[in-house]
Amino acid sequence: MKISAWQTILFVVLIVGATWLVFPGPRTLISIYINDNKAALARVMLGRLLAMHPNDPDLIMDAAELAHSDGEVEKAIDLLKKVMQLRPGRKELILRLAEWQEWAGHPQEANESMEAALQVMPELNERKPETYANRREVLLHLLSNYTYQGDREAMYTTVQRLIPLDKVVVAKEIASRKPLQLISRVLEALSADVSKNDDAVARALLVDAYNLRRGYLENVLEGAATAQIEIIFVNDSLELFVRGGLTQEAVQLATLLDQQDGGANSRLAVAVALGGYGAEKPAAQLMSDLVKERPNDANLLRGLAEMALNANLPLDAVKHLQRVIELDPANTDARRLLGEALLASNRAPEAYAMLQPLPVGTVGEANLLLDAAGGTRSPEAVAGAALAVKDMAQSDSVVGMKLADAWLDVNRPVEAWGILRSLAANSGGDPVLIRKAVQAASQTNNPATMREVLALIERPDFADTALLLEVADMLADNGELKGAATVYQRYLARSPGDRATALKLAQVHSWREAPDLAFGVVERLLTAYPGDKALLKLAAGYAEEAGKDNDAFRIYAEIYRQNPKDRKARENFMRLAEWTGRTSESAALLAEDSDREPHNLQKARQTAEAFLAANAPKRALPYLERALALKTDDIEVRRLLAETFGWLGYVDRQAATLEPLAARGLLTEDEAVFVAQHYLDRKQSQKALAVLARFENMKPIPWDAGALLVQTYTLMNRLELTQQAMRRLKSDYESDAVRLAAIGDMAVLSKRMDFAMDCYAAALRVDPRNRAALKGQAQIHAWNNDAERAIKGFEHYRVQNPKDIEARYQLGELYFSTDREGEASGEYKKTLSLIRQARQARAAGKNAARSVPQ
Amino acid sequence: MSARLRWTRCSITRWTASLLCLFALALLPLCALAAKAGGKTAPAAPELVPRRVLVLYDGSAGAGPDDNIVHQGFQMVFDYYGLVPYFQDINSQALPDDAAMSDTLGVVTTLGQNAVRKPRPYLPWLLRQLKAGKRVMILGHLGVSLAQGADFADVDQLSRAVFAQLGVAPSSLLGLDQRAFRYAHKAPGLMDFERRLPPQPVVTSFFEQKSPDLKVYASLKHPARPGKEYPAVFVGASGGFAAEHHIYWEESTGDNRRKWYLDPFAFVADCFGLKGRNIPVPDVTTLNGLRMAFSHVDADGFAGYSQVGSKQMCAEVLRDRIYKRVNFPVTLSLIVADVDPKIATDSKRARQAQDVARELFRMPNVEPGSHTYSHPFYWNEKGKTKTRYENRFPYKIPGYTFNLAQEIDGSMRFVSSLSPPDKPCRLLQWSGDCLPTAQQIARVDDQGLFNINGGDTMLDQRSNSLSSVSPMFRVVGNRVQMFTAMANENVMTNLWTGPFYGYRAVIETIKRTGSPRRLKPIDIYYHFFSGEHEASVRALEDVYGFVMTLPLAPVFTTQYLEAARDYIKVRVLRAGPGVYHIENYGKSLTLRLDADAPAPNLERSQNVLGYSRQKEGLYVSLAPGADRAVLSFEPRTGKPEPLPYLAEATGHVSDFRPGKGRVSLGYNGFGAAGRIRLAGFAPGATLQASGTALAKPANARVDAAGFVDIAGLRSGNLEVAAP
Repeated sequence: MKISAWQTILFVVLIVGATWLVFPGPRTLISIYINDNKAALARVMLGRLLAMHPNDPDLIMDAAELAHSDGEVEKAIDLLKKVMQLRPGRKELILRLAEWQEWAGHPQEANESMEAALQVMPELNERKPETYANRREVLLHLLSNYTYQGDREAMYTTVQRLIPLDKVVVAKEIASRKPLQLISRVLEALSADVSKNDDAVARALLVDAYNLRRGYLENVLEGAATAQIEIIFVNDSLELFVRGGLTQEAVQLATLLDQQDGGANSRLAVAVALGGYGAEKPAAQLMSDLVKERPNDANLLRGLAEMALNANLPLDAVKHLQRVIELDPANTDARRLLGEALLASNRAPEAYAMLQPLPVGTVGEANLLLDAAGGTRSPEAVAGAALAVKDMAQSDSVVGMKLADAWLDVNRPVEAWGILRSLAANSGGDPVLIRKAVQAASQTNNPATMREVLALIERPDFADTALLLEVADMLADNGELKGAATVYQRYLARSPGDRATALKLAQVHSWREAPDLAFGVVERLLTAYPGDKALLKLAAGYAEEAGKDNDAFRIYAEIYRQNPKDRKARENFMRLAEWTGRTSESAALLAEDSDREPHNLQKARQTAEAFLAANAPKRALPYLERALALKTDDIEVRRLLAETFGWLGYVDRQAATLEPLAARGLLTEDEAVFVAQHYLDRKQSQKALAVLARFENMKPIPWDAGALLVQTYTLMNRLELTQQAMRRLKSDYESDAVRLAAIGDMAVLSKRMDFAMDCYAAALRVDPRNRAALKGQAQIHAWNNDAERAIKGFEHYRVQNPKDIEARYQLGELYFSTDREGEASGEYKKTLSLIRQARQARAAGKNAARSVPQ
Repeated sequence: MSARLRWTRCSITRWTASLLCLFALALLPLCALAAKAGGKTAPAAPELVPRRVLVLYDGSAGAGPDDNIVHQGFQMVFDYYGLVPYFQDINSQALPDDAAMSDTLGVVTTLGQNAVRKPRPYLPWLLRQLKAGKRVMILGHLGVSLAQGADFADVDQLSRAVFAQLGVAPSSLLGLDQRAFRYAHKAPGLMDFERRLPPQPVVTSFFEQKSPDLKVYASLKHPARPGKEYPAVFVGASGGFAAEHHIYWEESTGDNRRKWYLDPFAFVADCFGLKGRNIPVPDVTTLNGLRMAFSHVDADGFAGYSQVGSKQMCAEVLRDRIYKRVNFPVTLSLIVADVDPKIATDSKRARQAQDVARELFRMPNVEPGSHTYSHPFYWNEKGKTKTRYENRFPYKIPGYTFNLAQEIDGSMRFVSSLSPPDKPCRLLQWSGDCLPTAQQIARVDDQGLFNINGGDTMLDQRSNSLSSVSPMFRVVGNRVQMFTAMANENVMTNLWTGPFYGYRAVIETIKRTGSPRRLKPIDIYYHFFSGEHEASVRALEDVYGFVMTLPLAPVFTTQYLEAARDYIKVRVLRAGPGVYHIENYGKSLTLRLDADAPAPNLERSQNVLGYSRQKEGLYVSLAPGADRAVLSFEPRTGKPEPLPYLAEATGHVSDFRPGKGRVSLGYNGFGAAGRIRLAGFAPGATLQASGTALAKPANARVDAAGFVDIAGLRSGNLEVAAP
């Protein structure tokens, strides 16, 4: 087959043509890329094309759309504005700009763009009615914007522009419904009137009325304008006209609407509105006319009843509704309203009788029935209502609570509790329900119920503090002490400063015979109220009850410190001090007491005694001295003071204290001996003798006194009397070897060796092993140079006391002087040995004192 | 002696005697004062500065504590003033007794005209509170109608007594056509705050002014009573009242957005007597002088295909474009149904998603969170939002019905299993309507974990009102649901119908909630959906980029939540003139005072690290880990010489030990680019900073005001002293 040239050319042209047709060009590709989310490719291609055709409006528009889809809205707006310069007066471009400006957050600019778009949009061009719709749409958008921005003037002008437009665009819809038609007529008339003056209220009224109609129109356009919605629209419109002072217009409009419906609802709405705005007279006049015109209009009567109810005139409402029911006995709605009116008139039994047979479908109906039943105060009525709302009460907490209220009103808390328990348990810790449940439970007086209440609030984080307190009180009142304590504790953990509740908790603990816990509670309170008298007393009582003597003592001490004149406090304090062995602490407290009243003899004395009892004689001294200074003739105190001085080793002061007694001859024998000794120590022999005089005639003379007499006479160098005294002593103590030996020693001191020998001999007769006598006798022999007798004497003595260093040395000397050197040496060695032993013993004693037990 | 000389001497003696007498008389009051002062040997016990505010609402129509203007508007203002609201239903809850009211500053009522069913216990109680010095803020109505008939004469009297405490007397509208009312006076700045009142007032309450000291925000006039003005919004000695329709305006269509008629900050401050108190208030917007900032991401779209990268998941796109590039702490969450191969629709993709999650959780700037097991759309089976959704879950999980343990414990366990052992999941991010019940919140709380979401704070051109700033939390029964600090991108992208870059608008919210009042920390909160479009990714990049330019204290979400949790418990006690004890502050480490408040006396303070004076306020930083701080404003005696103190830090500061011309401290902050600003050094001095918080020692120069900045910090110890 031969292919001609033209065929070849044709083929090539076909191929090229087909390719041209099938494969998109660069401009088309940009759109394809944008749609396929291949923005990068679109951007590249667009860039190339724009470089070639920088002022091509289509390409710039593509760039604007691309920037917009990339989220670069400001750039997109700039590009769009460039397109608009190239293609001025293009409505769709201006509206697109307005949209982007709005999205970019420039509402004022968007408004301006929309206004600009309106300038280029045809106005009331009857040849193209579809364009009106676009214009209306833009104006409605503007109206929304101006409304949100609160630009009243712009709102008004926009509405004025919309009203004539609506007449054309939505004429069919307006015409389709008579009320809408009539109201639109009033709106148009209002529009014309308002435009003639500058009344701000009238302008606002026009805008409101337009918006009201607009809303209804939207319902109509959407096919959602039900009869119910129409009634609302009419009533709202009439009310608005009344509010705006268009009363006459409203009445006329209502009359027309009523004529159309054959009823009186619209005029009733006008009357209601007039009444609501304080125009009672025209409202009453209108109502009066209406009733005359339609005495048997159930709807009107019902409306009248509603008005009466709103005006708090329930009796009037009852009258109207009873007439409605006469006219229409099957009118359930009127019966329910009558029930409500009866209830408002405090006629609950009648209300219940009216409502009880009616079906209960809504929460409001259930509540109304329950209110009526509760108001009857009749358990039967409540039971009837409960049956009617049974299911609702379980699922709806409001109805459930209302039913519970009704049960409580008729004093049936068990039933109320039964409902509230399950509602509360399923509420997730709702404090409202739990509170209500608790209130019901508290009236049951049933311990088992009390325990169940605890379960309701068992969550550790249950946060309704006030309710915790209520529950705790309730449990306590019902004898559930353990539970009450637990709940009080939880309450106090949240409200630690609640003193009254803390005290209640303590009381509950006490009732539970747990005084230790009660004490703990009160003690914690004391940290917040330190020194509080009532709390201190309570705490002390609980502590004592709990056997916490130490704590009780501490608190009683505080009480006594605060109230030193309180005898009871003192008694308690002293009692606990004694129990707890805290005499020094009590003494210190008494000391403070005495220091506050330094002229109180009793307190000074008690303080001193307390210190002495606490083995603190030094601290007792000032109080004894204070006591004695307050009553110097108190012999007992004086003796105690002297004794204390003596205890402390203050001999001089002891003696000085006793001296006044000596002068008055009131010293005891011991005291006399002590005082005499004291005088003697100070070489005051006359004074000593005066004190000792009392002993002179005693038989036997007390040993100490006798010995002091001997010392006194010796000191006075009254040898005869000394001798006499010694003899008397020897005679009085002739069977006492120790005393006889001592008299011998006295005689030695008085250098009456013969008498001394007699005494030693007498002693040895009584006790041949008396060491003192043996040694004294040997010593006198030695002094008399009678070595042999002295040696014999010391040897006898050595048998009794082989470790007497002095005696062994003397014996050694005596051996030596009698040439018995060997024996002398033995004694010397023994002496040295005893000296060493004595030193070692002293050293050991010192070390032992320093050693520490391991 | 001459007579003249005698006279002179006599005069001198007399004058001297007179002067001495006068001197003695002059001394008497001083001595008395001294004796009085000396008599104060035992300091009075610190007095609690009440922070709690009781809000009474009407729950009888099924309304919750969050269905009122207090939660939806004023609670944000309470947050700002450091007040903590607690809500009680007037019709079903007992009114608190006086003991329970002891820590309450005042009462707010948000009630309808006849909301109170039992006015008799309510009104005497309210009157008692007023007489005890509590303040009230009555919004709309007292809740009890004034004309209830003869049986309610006492109620009427009680109502009048309550209003008498405020300085007004209720008056009758009878015979007055209310349509003729107009505004007589609107206090500039206090009314017409965000929106002008309408020209025709809606009158629901009518009062005559009795007290001359009433601060009238707005008053009415009527042509039938010429020359008379009737207060509609006012504050008296014991609190304030704002009539219904005078508090805020609400859009009748669309989003029902609101705008304030009255200045809520001024009104709250006036009602509760907060102005000029100079009392420190806890503030969780700020840490150590810098605005706190965190970020959290809801898991929706984690494994979804992105249009940005080729076949990448959204999470991968954000990983590469945001988390690897931006040095900012972020909490990333997962939905178990999305990433668990056992239940996910596409098990292969779920496995891949798990790998991505593991990688993300290993990153140091990432903290794991759970966005639940099945992403329930609504949490409360009986809630009002249930009807908005066809199904409860967006995922089809065979055989699954709502199981709280699975949603909370199970999901958090699952997330933890994908996270490194030292970084377990501690945060539950509520899904759907974000309206959990108290029981559900308790399930999180009881495990020591944190919860967040709900509360869509926006303050931009679209939501151009402070009424769009949400409070810090929502009270649910006895629990608290923590709200996010800012809205997520869902709202700003019109639920992802566009514009996809809509989230960029949050920058305006960030700016306007930071100044002139610092109302919120920064919260960059979005979904993984943001990784789907180039526009949304770029918007995110812009938001992070903007935030990174601000002076901030970046923290993880759980760290913010710790501070918010402890904020509620902080106790402020006045221990004397200008001396405050701050107790229970835990991790709520910042107090705020007015910007012109005097500087604290740090030598007399305890556990106070320092302060920073900014135009938004004077921010005082407390030391962490202490039971109590003492903040003193007593005048300085001049001795000893003031020590350096902390002005700002991008992280937590502990063991702060100031010495003469030197400071040592522990710094614990995010990343390795922390900054600290110290004050109180000798101007112009050169200091050396060293320690483990710095890579190497560095010199820093003190500026003319005594401040020195140390930058490049990571967690560790820092010593600043003369070299």
